[in-house]
Amino acid sequence: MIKDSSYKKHIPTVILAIILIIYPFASGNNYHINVMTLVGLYTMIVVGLNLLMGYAGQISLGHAGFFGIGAYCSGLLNVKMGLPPWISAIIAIIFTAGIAYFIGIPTLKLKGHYLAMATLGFGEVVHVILSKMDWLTDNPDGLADIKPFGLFGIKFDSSFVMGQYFMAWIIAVAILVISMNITNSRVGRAFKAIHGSETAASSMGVNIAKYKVQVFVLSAVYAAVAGCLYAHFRQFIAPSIFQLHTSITLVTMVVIGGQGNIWGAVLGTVLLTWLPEWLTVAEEYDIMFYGILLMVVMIFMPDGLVGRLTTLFHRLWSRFSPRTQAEENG
Amino acid sequence: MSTPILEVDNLRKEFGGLVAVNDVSFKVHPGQIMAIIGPNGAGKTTTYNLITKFYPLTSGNIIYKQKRIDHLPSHKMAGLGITRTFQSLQIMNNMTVLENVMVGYHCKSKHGLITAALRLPLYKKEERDGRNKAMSVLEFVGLESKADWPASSLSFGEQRMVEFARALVCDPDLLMLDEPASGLNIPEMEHMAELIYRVRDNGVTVMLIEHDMGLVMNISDVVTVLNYGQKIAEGTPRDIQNNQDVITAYLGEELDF
Ligand SMILES: Nc1ncnc2c1ncn2[C@@H]1O[C@H](COP(=O)(O)OP(=O)(O)OP(=O)(O)O)[C@@H](O)[C@H]1O
Ligand SMILES: [Mg+2]
Repeated sequence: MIKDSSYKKHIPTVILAIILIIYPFASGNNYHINVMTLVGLYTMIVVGLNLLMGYAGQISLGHAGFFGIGAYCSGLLNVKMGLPPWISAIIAIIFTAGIAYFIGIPTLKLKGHYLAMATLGFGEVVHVILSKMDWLTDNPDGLADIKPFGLFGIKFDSSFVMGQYFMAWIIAVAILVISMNITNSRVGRAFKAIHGSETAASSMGVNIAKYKVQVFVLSAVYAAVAGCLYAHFRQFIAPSIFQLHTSITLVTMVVIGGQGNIWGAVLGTVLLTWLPEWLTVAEEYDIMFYGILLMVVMIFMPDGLVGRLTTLFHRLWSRFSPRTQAEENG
Repeated sequence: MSTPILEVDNLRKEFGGLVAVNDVSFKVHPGQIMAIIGPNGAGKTTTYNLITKFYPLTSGNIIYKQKRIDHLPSHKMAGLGITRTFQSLQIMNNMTVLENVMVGYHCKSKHGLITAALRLPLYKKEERDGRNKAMSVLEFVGLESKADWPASSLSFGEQRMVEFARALVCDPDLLMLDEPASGLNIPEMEHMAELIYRVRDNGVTVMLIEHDMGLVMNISDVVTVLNYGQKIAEGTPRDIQNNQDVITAYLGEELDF
């Protein structure tokens, strides 16, 4: 009865994968490839935030905090206790999930502005704690000497640009695929139902509190994965990136790309990382630039770029496809 | 008579000083269509909200299938077989029609985050079953051709049907409809009445809040009348039409049976 169109929904993923494989060879510029590696890491966080914001209708202005907890936890376990990076990363991800769970339970009872403020507060607390870490890191600037990931004797340090790029993007695409599977499931529909009507959702058996915490923890786990990769790629981390500025950038990426659309996360991240580079906006002004962009998008295309493009595409499609027209008329 | 499927005993709800539901008791018997009527603000919707746990009770008991359920949270109701619709439409505008209805399948399925993420066999089976079930219910209400439309693009009457379908998809034993016909035009209303009949004939017990007296008197087996939070009458549609208290309660209002 239902036709199986599953091959169709893989097309965008395949196209993305092809572009990602070609890119570093076509570019050949190590600086650009490193920027794209960073885009890969941000994509992970933004996909999670998109699930939280676009699907479940919640918000977090503190996700740089989870990014930071993941990075510092894995870095410290590696530097201080000598755990191999893979092990320290897995522990860090589990640890971050635990923190998100305990933060999420009380926080997600709040709505709207209160939730935004509470998560913002959480992010700032994390930032302050990381800034006062010098007693542990023995270094006032941050945590140094983090070991890179190793695989079959190959070290994924900063000189292995391609290695970091592919590791980041293989994990990012895996997160994308997993997230798409989730959105097309009972769980994803529960997220969306909470956004659409908590009343209806709970009358249909959706445990609102449980699913809100689930999506929050999931998004924190994605951020922690990005944090671990970041720490072991850079081999040095400083608290300055794990703060409100980054949280707001991440939220802007979600909104610009398109809430409620996984592909929006990729587009938003790519765009907001490259735009400032192209426009050579001075570092201090980029948050102002994001602010203006955020306002413009919210006013003129609340569904974000991907949402806007999909609507345009559908409009063109129905104009030029005689079959659809016939269906509509009769 | 058969044991009631639902028994409400001295149900009471106070909002501050206002007693919205004042020690109301009634029984609903399996296979019946039981209507609750009453003037605006009589406490009908509040009674539903108490039974489905959207509000905590001030006092009283709710017994469903001979078990007390007043301590359970609202999301447990669907799993027990109690589903409802809403007077103020609660459509998920961010989802398609089919997805809206598939949310109704939530309590019939159980796969979680990890099963879905990895597309394990249970996920595939439940997705397929849920989809088929939702499509068959959409066919039942006549919306199968709009399954993939955004729910927000449907007319008001069609959205009422989506809610109705969503409440049916998990095969409830007790279906609680809150003014399902309000805002519908005459043909839509007749369609709705016929569907309610057919649902009842399939063995579902139906509770119905409705202002349209023609509809109520036509399709219900038992009518309970609330006024200012109190139950003032109960009986067959014929009894109710001749009940002096009911006529007085509705005095001043347009009442055409
Ligand atoms: N959440 C609430 N807080 C305070 N008062 C409420 C609340 N919900 C309902 N009430 C009040 O309780 C009374 C009963 O309301 P209810 O919605 O149950 O009436 P109803 O019989 O469904 O009326 P209608 O036919 O207009 O839908 C009204 O006076 C209403 O104002
Ligand atoms: Mg009402």
